[in-house]
Amino acid sequence: MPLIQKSSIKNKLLIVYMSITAIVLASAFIISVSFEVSSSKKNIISGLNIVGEIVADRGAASLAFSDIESANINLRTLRSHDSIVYACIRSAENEAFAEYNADEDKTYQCDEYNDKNRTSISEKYVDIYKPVLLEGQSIGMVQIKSSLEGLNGQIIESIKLSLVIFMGLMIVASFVSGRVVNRIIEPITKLKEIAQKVTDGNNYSFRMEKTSSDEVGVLVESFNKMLDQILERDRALSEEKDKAELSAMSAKKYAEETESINIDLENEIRERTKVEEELQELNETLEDKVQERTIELKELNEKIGGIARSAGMAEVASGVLHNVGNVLNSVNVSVSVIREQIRKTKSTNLSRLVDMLNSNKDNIAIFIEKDEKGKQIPKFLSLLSEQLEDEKINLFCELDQLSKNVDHIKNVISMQQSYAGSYGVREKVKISDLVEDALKINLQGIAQHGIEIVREYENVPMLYIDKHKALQVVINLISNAKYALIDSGKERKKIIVLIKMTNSNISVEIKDTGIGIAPEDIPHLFEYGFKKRKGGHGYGLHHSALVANELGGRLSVRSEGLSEGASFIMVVPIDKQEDE
Amino acid sequence: MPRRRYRDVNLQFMRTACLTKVLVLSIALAGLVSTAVYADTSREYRLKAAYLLNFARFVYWPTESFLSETDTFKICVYGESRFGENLNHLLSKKVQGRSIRIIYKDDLRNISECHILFVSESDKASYYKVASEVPRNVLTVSDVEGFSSEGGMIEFIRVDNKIKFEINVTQSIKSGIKFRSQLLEVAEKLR
Repeated sequence: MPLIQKSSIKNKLLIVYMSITAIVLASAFIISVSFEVSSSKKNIISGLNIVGEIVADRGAASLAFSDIESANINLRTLRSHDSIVYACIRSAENEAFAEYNADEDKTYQCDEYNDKNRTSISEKYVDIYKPVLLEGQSIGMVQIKSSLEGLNGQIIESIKLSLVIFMGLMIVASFVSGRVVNRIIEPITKLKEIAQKVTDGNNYSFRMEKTSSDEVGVLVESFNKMLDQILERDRALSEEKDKAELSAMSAKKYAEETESINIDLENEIRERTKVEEELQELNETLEDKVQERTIELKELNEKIGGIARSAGMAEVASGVLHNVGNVLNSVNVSVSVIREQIRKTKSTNLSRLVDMLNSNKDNIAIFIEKDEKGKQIPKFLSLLSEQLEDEKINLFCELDQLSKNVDHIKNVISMQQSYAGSYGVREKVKISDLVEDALKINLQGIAQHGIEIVREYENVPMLYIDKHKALQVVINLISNAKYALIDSGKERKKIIVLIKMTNSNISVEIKDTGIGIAPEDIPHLFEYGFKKRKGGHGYGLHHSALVANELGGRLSVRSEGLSEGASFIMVVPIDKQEDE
Repeated sequence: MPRRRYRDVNLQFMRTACLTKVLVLSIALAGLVSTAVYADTSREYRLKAAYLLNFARFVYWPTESFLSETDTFKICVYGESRFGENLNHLLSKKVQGRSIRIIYKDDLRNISECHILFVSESDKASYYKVASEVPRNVLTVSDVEGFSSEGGMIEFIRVDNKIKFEINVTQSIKSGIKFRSQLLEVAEKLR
């Protein structure tokens, strides 16, 4: 068994093939030889039976007529059968009647008479016994003895021949199975060689060609796949190795850096320790210093209080100036108009006429009557008088306007003064009244530029609020809306004022259809000094937002973009009122 | 043909020493027997009687030879019988399943009823007549010398003091008698 295990698959297969072939062939031969032996025996016996029948039939007359010669002749015909060694005829009276012996050197016994048809087989001979019948009665017996030597020889010959054929077939079988096994084993051998090459040379690039789709084919496929995987892993490993080397290097670098940082840290620690020591020292003197500083701070606080008051006043002043400034713009316009009117007045023509009359004062009547120019004077005067009358009317109108504006300023200032008195004081205010006051303050500009005011007031509760501050915000918002409308150049100018109650807040929205605000400007709109409008001081909205915060509310803006108009909304809480 | 074979057989007998001894013994025995035979004609006729039965058994008897299925097989003896009681032994035997009947005839009338007609030696004068008058399907046997050559069918002869027989096959065929080949093989002579 170990020998078989050591031997190659090819040899194993060959052994199996040859063993099977040998077993099959040997079985076939054994079966065929034994069949031949048995059929030969049968043939011999049946042949002997026929011969016996003939001899018995022919011997009947011989026996009947006691013709020994005839009987002997009859028996001698058996010479033609090589295997028949002996024959005899015995009468029914058990007398030996005739006998035949092929080999006279040998003697055989003619057996006792028996009228039965029988066969007796021994190792070397077959004996058949045939009754000699006459009229259905046995009158004697024929015995024929046949040697089996021929048969045995034949069997031996046949076995010899079989052996020769067997050997021949085995040679053919070994040749054929050698080829077949080679064909089967070839891919496995190749696979083995490639596997050896791979392991010897550590070269995984070898691949084997798949030639069949049987188990070997599957094996080859798996082998190739395995090699692919090994290659893939190799590559991944080498990449990992490179990475590891790189990280080792960087780790080394980091270590070096860390070391230098450590040194730096140590230095820093040393310095810190030093500083701490100094701090310790300072701490000791700190209490004294704190006391000193507290005194200083008290003084400073008092100073700051003064500054705050000044700042508040400045803020108020600025608000007043702003409001008045709005009206003064109208005043300026009126003054400009008047100045232009006076500059263009026709009175200069009158002085020229006076000069002309002065130069002709001696003969003025003749001049007016005769001179071409003089003739024109009454017509000229009439026209001049008309023009001057017009100018006078215009100037009156403008002056009236101016006077209105000045009155307005007066009103503003007086209103301002009424509000100023209440600065920092919260009062019960009806928000719509406050909005109307603001509109009044801006009335000049609004009317002048043909701006339409739309009021959408909801019925809202009274507010407890610093009305001065709230008014400032609303005036500022209306003023801004007005400028936005003027700058837009649109024909139809409209300001919508909405008073609404949302949740527990009251919102005042001033909405215009003016120039709008660019989206990128919206975040900066409430920053101090941010100005978009020419002539603006960048203070208004910032101040308004601050004031709205002070009122506990907030100021917000909405705009869809440039030339889309804008909405400024002041929201103030009403819950303050309940607190009061 | 049987004659030639007979000669060949003889030659072979002579060749083999063993059989020569047997032959010598046989001759000696035969001499003794024949002495006895001649001494006792009764014995001779017993053998001839047995032969008659055997002849009957080696002939193909056509069915028309018998009157009925139960008809007997008739052996007729014409002339003076020398068989004595020997023929009576045949009465217990059968031929083709038929019982045997022995009929003694003084003349040749009604001989057509016979199957075998034995012509006795004593009536030498009448065998020619027999030969010419015997109807078909009757086997004629005689121990009269020259019987077979003169129109008879089987003739007993003596060879080496043994009782043998000759067969006139031509005559037999003419008379409608068919012998089995075995009988012809053991016949001493065929005509």
